[in-house]
Amino acid sequence: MSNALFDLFFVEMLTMLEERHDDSKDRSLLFHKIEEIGFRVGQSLFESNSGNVNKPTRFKEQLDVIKFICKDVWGMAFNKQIDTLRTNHKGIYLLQDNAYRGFNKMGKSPAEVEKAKLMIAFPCGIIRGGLASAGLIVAVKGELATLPACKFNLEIADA
Amino acid sequence: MSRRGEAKISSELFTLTYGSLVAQLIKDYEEDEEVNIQLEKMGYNIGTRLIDDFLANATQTSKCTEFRETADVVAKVGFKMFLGIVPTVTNWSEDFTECSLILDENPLATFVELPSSHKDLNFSNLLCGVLRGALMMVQMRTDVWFKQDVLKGDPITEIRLKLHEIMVDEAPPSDE
Repeated sequence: MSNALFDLFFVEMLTMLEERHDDSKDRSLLFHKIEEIGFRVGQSLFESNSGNVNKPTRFKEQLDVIKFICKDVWGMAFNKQIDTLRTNHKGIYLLQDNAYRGFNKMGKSPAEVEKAKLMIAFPCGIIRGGLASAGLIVAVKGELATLPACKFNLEIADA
Repeated sequence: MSRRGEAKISSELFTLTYGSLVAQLIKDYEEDEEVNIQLEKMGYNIGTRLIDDFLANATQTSKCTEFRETADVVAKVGFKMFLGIVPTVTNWSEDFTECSLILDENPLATFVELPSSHKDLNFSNLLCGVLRGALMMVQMRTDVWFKQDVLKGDPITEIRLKLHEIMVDEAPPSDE
């Protein structure tokens, strides 16, 4: 599979959704649509790679699920892993990708930063979708660092 | 741009993202036909840009002058390069302006089952747009459509190409 095709596809997907929602000044609807698309991708990646559904004991602890997202799901999607994972062991996690694939070719112009703020909805959705498949309800906030780096703040709701 | 070893994305990511987008469009638009149009249009825009990548990477350097030759290159080089499959080119019309690409597998539709409520949806219509857009950039004005699709219960997946004209004017066409 060619990177060029996926990259062009992703850009055109954003353009198409932007055109559809350009009447609303509020970008949050657009962000939500992209996040939803990522969510379904995260669910599928998790389900197709977490092995036998009849063995739910695979993940002993919450942290194991998070690690699975960082290594396996990220690996399946982007062929790399999340670089840093930190936690307070009380349901808060901070993930950092030092070079998120989608940001590798991005510059630092205001327009591109605006685009990056939308694009991050996709990996946010992947994380939320993956964790949802593991039965975890989580709030994910994406944050741009020095591009192409970005961070994800995860707050897992008490079950 | 970057010479660092760039991580390749997996085909699974593309397939899943495409499927997820189509699901989103089905929610957003009432008619399947409207979704088909959006996917084709999106594909067209991709095709007009993808051609640069194709010309930069294809080893064949001579320009195709005939549609027959072009269709062959599309299948054997283009599809191979971007999707990793090689469709069969067949069913030529007598004047060699129409042909079919038969896809034994369709990477866009790997995990897909179409619900019967979406009979008019051409799930992989993006491909038609990509082909039309890329061919337009090499001065070939075409129509491209799904004649058959296994997703709809047809025995094979067949994309039909029809050449209208080879444009002599070198001016690039404007976006639709």
